[in-house]
Amino acid sequence: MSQATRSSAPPSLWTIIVMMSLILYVPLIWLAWGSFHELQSDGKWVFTLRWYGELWGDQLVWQSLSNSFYVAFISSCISTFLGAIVGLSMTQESIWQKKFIQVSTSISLALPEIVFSISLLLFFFILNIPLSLNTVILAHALFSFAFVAMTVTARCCLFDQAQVEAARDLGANDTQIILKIILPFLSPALFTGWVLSFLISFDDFLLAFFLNGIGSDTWPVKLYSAMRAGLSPKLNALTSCMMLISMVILLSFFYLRFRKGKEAT
Amino acid sequence: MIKWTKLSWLTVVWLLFFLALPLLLLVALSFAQKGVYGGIDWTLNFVNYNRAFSWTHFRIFWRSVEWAFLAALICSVLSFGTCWILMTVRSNLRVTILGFLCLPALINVIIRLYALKNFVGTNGPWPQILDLLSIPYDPQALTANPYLVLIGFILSYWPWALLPLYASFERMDFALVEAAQDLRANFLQVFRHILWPQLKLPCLSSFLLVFIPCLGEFVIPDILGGAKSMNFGNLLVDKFLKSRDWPLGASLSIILIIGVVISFSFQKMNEERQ
Repeated sequence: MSQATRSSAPPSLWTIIVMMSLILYVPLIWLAWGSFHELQSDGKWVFTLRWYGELWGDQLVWQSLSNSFYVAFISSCISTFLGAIVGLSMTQESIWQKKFIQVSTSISLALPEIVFSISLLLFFFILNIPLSLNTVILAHALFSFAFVAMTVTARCCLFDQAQVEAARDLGANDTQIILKIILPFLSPALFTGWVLSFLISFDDFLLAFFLNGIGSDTWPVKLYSAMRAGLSPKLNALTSCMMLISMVILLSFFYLRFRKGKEAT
Repeated sequence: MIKWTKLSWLTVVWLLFFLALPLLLLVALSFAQKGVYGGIDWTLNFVNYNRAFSWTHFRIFWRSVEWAFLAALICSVLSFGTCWILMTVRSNLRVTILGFLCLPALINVIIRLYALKNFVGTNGPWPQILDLLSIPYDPQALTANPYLVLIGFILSYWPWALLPLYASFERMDFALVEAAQDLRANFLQVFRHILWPQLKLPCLSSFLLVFIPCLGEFVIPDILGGAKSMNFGNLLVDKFLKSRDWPLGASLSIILIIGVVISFSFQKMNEERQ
């Protein structure tokens, strides 16, 4: 009965949802469809796996993908390590540092990414550091640190100082307290932070575009430069694969979180 | 615990060195000068700001503000409608629809733009649809026009408006709407007397959350806009990577930062009022 008394919204608003879903999904579906088809000279589309075959044989694509994985892995490890340190100091009493981390986090989140990349480019130029994958790693670690710090800060609000005092009363030393109490307490936040920074780094275009060296393209940069040269069905195959991968990762991530949330309640 | 907390200085040093120092350098550079042979001449002057405040730059800046404004406005109107609809469906369906609508925005931006460009391009279905409806179009401008940029903005930043607004809708007491409808209020009256007074501040928030990132956007106008529609972000990239006039680019980015800071302080004020 409660469902029946639910009020209605203007029915015309449904067109918004329908229209937006069409605009959002139809190009993506067309892309995936096009990656399996070839346009014949008589204007007919014929099914083919040719583009995937060409993609499989393309050394440069594999190179850029492995670059991306490498960058994402190292940079997310760095930012998670720094996030762990932040967590350590936040579970102690150090208001000053808390404030500092908060300010710098909000700066790096609010700053347009383009200004962020320009300033790093300038920085590397002045210090005479040649651009390479390492500079991209550094930039990504710096950028995703803000997200790790956010998850860690949120977790640290729940920390109970009494645990540490109890452990100390029982004769635990500093190392034991950190290994047995603080790190296990922080680990969910650190894990979420690690996954987030991996995804951010793997997905990022602008920082890599500015800061990569010659021949060290990550895959979004590679795709961008291939696109500048012109659209080709091989790119359809590449983008469809990447789309599928990110869809699967995202859906499983959300599914896991959703299930965990359900168990908690 | 003293020994371990010392480690946290590492993060402070890291942030000072890699976040604060580059920004300070950028500020310093904006007061330097372009050297005769293309390098940087570190003498204090305001030449760049004089050059930055030229008519062409102002036009580009104004156009980015216009486009960002339009995109933000459309996004917040669309999300308002969507949230209203969502509040009337079953609650376990809401999250699913929300996820369905936000999922494409999480796919890499280049892929999304590529898909859009592929769709409207000469081999795609869009020209054929236009032919079928006998709408005249310019085949040269199919894959590169300002409207496409606007669509790109909306598709990319829509969740930024949708999710916070949805959160405010959920917090609102929706029984008020039901009561009003029981009292024979029509949709316009419900909107004017119940939804709008409670949701105008969250609406402004979601407007700004779209407006701010659109202001300095580079990739979307670069891929979908063609040569004619230059955004402020494109201008910056142009100055830094193409014409290599770094000091001028630095002063332009300081102007962008100021614009963003102003919009953010609006946003902060707005949040506090909520």
